[in-house]
Amino acid sequence: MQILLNGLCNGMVIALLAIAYTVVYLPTRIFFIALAGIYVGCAYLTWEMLGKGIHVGYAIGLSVALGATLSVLCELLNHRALEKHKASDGAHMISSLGIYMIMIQAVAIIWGNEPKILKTGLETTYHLMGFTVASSQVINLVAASIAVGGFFLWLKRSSLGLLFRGLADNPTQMALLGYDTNRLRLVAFGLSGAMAGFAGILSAYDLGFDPYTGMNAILLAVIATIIGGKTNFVGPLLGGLILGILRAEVVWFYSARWQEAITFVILVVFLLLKPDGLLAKEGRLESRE
Amino acid sequence: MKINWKKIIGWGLAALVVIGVVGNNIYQHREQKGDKPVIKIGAILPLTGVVAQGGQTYKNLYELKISELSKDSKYDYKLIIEDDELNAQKSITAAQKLLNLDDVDVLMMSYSGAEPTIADMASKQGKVSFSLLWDDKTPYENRYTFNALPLPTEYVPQLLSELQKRGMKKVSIVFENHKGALQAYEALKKYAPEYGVEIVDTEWINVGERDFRILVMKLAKNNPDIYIVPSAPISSTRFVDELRAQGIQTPVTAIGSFDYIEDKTPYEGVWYVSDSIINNEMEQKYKETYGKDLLMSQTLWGYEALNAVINAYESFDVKPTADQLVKKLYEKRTNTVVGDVQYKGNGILHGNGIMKIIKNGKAVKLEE
Repeated sequence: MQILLNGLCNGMVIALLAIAYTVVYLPTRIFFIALAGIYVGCAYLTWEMLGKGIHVGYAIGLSVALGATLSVLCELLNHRALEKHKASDGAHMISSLGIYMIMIQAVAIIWGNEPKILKTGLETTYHLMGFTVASSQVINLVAASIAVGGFFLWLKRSSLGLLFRGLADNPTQMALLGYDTNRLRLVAFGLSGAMAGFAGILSAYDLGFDPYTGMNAILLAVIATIIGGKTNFVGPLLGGLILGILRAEVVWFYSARWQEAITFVILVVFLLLKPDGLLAKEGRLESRE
Repeated sequence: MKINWKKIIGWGLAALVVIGVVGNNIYQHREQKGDKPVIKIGAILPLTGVVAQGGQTYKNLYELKISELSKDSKYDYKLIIEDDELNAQKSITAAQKLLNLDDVDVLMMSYSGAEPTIADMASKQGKVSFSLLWDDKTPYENRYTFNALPLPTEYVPQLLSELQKRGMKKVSIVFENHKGALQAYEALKKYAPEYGVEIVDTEWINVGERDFRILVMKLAKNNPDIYIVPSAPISSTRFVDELRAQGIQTPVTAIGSFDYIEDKTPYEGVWYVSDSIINNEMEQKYKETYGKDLLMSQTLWGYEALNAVINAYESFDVKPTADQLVKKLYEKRTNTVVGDVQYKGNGILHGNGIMKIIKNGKAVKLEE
């Protein structure tokens, strides 16, 4: 059970990032790698602001807002322009990778390459009913759950959430119905950047960060999306939790060095046997060809 | 007027090629124009990534050595440094660039694990190379290759002797999945029985690992007397912090790791073996030059390797061949920044380690 709890805590942060990735992927089909740069950038911004004595709440809020802004800029300056030229999915992905590299270089130049951690000193650990849980784990689990819960609430209850679901389901039809899909895409990018930035801050608080942690995190998020199912927003959540628990079990039952390898073995297994993920929607026969 | 982008890009690329070729020729020509013959020294270091701090320190010390050279030196030494992020593939790419494009005379290698391949490449071109990797095979198999650092086999017995003295018999090891760590592990495995020490657990982690919650719980099951922690600062500190956060007060030790930690205060009283010589004079000089402490005095071995190369060259009036250089490097060197240095005849450095303890936030020699 302890392994399950630890896996759940880590899995929730993976899930948050996986949802952030899916928020852009579903309506646009863009492999938004630049999100890895935003994930790391927000952690550094928070670290910088905390170092300057800014209140933790403002530091996180400002960093998340900057993450959202950066993400929106990616859409405005890159993907929208490519879309106008009817660029391929590959062009979107490569340009996003380019943006990620620029971001990482900028982070490395400004803050250096040394790993950093947001928390200071030894953290408090609680022992309850045979479980051991660290304060940072509790914070991560609660904060990530609130962020994910808030997103689903917005998606289900707000009118903008309804429009967004429509965009995620069929952007062409939404455009034909007269909705401003460009504006909705901006919402998708903004939301994605904010969630990725928040996930980056949570992970930076718990485990630390360096300029290169984002890429590994985004790969895990993509794998979680593939495992859970990339046709809805619950799939990435489920995939993230499964991945978190699975990785914890690999360490416990086998060895820490096999975590990445086994994660990718699982990916291959899913791609071969269940490419649409666990929560795949049954589509029309011809769309499955 | 319609802009012909294809034409512009085409001419742009052509211009870049011309600038590259002409620029390179001018650069080569200018290099040869000086009064002294040029000795090009290539260095591959992890200047970015999880061990960037170590790479930067080596870089600073190499540059410090070059800046210390007097105007009367017989040769003009040029240092060309490439970053490998401690990635073996990038090390090889950097080596290819340094050996084939820059045509360096001597190559100071990194510790990414690609050193056996690179040493082979350098040897085939008749170029002397130094390795920062803990590896006994590479210098043994390549006559132009030397180890810049003493191997763990030289000083792991010191750590085991200390464990024996303190009555610590059960050891748990957490090491990075890295060739250097494997060498240290092999040395521990080889000598442990002689000192009555048993390795009860060995966990291999990925380089830069930070999440040790489950690993700590897992290792605690075997109730070891002491843990030997990983080498990257982020991993060693996170591991120890996680132990303490879970209320486990079992002592920790290391092979060098604590040398690399900037803020040593939380690890007061921790003792460990290190290949880093304490040299106050060099530490002072480093601080004066770079405005910060020399955290990893292990890097002084790199400084000394470069010093040895330069001294060897300076002993020849005419640029020596690689064989002449190698012969000179085998001569014993006394009173260097790391003490007396002697190679064993197969490129492997003979040298003892030093037992250290963290006192008042500083690593000092552990008194007998």
